[in-house]
Amino acid sequence: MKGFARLALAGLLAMAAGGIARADDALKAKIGVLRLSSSAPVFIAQDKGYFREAGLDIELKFFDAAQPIAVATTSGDVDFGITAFTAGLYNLAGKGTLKVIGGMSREKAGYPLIGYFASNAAYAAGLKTPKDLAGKRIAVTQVGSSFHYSLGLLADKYGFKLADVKIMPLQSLSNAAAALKGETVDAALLPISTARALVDSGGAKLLGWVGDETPWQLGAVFASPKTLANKALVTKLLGALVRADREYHDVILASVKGGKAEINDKTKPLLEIIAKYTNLPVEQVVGNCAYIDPDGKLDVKNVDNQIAWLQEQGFVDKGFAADAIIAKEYVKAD
Amino acid sequence: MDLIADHISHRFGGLDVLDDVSFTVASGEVVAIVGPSGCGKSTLLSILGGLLRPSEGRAELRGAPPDNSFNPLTFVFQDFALLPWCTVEANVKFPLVHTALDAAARQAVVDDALRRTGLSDFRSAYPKQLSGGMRQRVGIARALAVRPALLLMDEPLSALDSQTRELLMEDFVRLLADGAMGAVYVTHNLEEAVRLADRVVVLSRRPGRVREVVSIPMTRTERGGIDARGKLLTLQNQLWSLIREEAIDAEREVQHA
Amino acid sequence: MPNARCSMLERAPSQDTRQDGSVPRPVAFRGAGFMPGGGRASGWIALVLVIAFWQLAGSAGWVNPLFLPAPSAIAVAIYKLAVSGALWQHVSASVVRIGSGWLIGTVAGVIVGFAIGLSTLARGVGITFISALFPIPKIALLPLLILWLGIGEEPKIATIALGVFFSTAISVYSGVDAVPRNLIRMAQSFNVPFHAIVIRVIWPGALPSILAGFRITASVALLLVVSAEMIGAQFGIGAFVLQAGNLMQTDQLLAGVVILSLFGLAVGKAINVLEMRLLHWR
Repeated sequence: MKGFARLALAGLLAMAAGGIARADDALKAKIGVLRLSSSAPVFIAQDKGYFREAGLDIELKFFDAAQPIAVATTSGDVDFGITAFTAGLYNLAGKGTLKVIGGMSREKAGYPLIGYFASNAAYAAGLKTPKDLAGKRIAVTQVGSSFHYSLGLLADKYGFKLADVKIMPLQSLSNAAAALKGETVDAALLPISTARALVDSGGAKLLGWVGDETPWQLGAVFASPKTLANKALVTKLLGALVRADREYHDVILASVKGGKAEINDKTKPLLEIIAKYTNLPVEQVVGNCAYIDPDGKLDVKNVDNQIAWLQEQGFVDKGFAADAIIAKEYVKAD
Repeated sequence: MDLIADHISHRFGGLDVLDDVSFTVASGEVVAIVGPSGCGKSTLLSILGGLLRPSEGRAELRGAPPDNSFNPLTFVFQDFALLPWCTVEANVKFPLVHTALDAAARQAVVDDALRRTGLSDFRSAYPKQLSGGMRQRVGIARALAVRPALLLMDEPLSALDSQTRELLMEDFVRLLADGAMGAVYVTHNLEEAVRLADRVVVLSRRPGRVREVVSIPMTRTERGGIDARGKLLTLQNQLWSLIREEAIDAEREVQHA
Repeated sequence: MPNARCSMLERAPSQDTRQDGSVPRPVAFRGAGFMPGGGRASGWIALVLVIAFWQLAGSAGWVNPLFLPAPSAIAVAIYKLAVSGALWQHVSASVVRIGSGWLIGTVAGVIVGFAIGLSTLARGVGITFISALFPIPKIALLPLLILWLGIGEEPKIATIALGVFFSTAISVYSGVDAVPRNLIRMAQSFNVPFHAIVIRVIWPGALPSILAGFRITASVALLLVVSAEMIGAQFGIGAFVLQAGNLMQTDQLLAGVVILSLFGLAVGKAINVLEMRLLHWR
């Protein structure tokens, strides 16, 4: 009787210990992310269980704009954020409230993401190539946004002054699209997802893609200093993400021709995962595949350039550079 | 200028208010209209003054109005109807602004009306600063300013306390003394009716019909004397006996409604 | 004896709470409260205390300056803005938009409000349209406004004018409705012509609720300047606030908000003065 009790107690203890051990194994974390295909590896890693296999219990928190993700990371509502670089994000990072730990989407030749679009009237009047944008009225969502920076890069490339361009910040993509369609601006920088319907219906003309003209590091993975202290968590997360980056690169990006991914037996399962998380049909996902480095590398030089440019424009507080906001122990530089 | 009520009937929706009312107000005459509550006294006055279209019959004028009159039929209202954003003077001037008078003549008319009502010292006061009695004096001054042939007075004293009523009644007697101006005086107060009127039209309860027309066989100046008091009281009681039964019925009816 | 009685009286309450009725006593006052007065200083003192506490919280590091910049940081932001000259560019751009939008919306609203108040036909049509269109959020219409009016000053002014118009029309026709009918009858009984009744009776009679409407529409115009300046504005307090928000420059954001509040206070004061001058008869 006594022996049996001892056995039962030992069993209970063992079970409890096991339970604790499992809880220790599965590190909980929340990732703030947009429902955009530029975050594809996150969806793949979550759906195919790469996070779980790495011993992580990840919850995805979906946002509808880039800025709130940066704010939520700063305030600790999410542990990691994955989204595009914005002036707001750099301002937060410059105050030391978050650091970049890895690269995500990039503008790269052959992978359409953001495009330059002309209104029909401006196109008819001779606005045919990105180079012609000098001196035009151009709609963007916000000053200091990815669109604004892309335009700055274009100005540098073709040697015109950004000050000569009339930037019209219209706050939302739908406003910018409306202004383009209504021909009250000459051109607009829009993501392909917004512009596709407009171009297909003859409401605007495509001039070119940012990735073809001026490749740059669009998105990143970042975390707050508190999260960074948990080395195991960050390492495991980045490991799982790189595994998904590699798969996304080798399967989907490798099949991209003429700006579109192929739908075949290999790509279909991954495309369906992306479609599920972005609430888009597979046919739209294929034309909307952001380039992502297979090793999750970050173009540190470009990030430095972004910061310098935004500081020069007065959108980002002066006094820091890329190395101040990058967690060197985690980031693999290009 | 005579004012004639010619077979006037009126309905509000399905409610008969007046039924075939006819009488004449001769030039310079003061006619009081009395009757139980809800008998259509005020409605009748609005019809006589052209502010309400009767369902049947009509109000008509006979004879030329005095040529210096700007508004032969002029109302004095129970609630005074003063413009609260205008001073006493501006209120009295209000009906004259669109007349052909030049500014100086207009001012003279206003000054005269204010003097006759004892308001000269209050010309720049606003209505909210005045007592009820003073406010009604402004209403009377405004009516006098347009030199009416006939004053249409709709319970002009019923919003006032009894002492003020007494004072204003004396004003009315004085203003109507020379017979240049007639009046239709709607009231529920029989004492006022016998004090002021040459004739009293007694309306029945709803729908109002002319039940009787009582003449007051005394001049208004005679009625002020002490020996007239008894006579007036008798007349007042006579009127009351005509109205009493119906007043009781009317009151019950009103309570039911 | 009087002394003895007096001392008994003094002891009475503690010894005997029962009132025996033979002792004269004051009627207890029970009419206190429910009459808030207009204390001038208390509002300012409270404001100063809140700002002081806020500054203390910031200086002592209780709150992250990113989440809530201290008043001093906001003051510095405003100062820098003023010194650089950008403040005047922003303020003047916004004042022009708010002023012209408010004026257009108000004039149109007063005309439509009077029409609704005076004409049966306009009332039927007008009230139906106002009820249908008033609740539409103007921000939702921005893409349409851009298509119709472009991205110049027109859609910005139109956004403000639209917001102001509906509130004004409603307050004006309620004001016209509220003019005592007996005053209109009085004017009619003196053969005062229609236009003179409108100008001399209905307009002043409706003025209190029209001015109360102004108080609301002035705030609406200030609220809407931020929406209006979403449409491609490079200058303007609204554009400045939006940009500061986009760039996460929270001290600048609050600086813009403070400037908008000061606008609001100034407009409120101006309407107070207007009411004092125009409605002294109340």
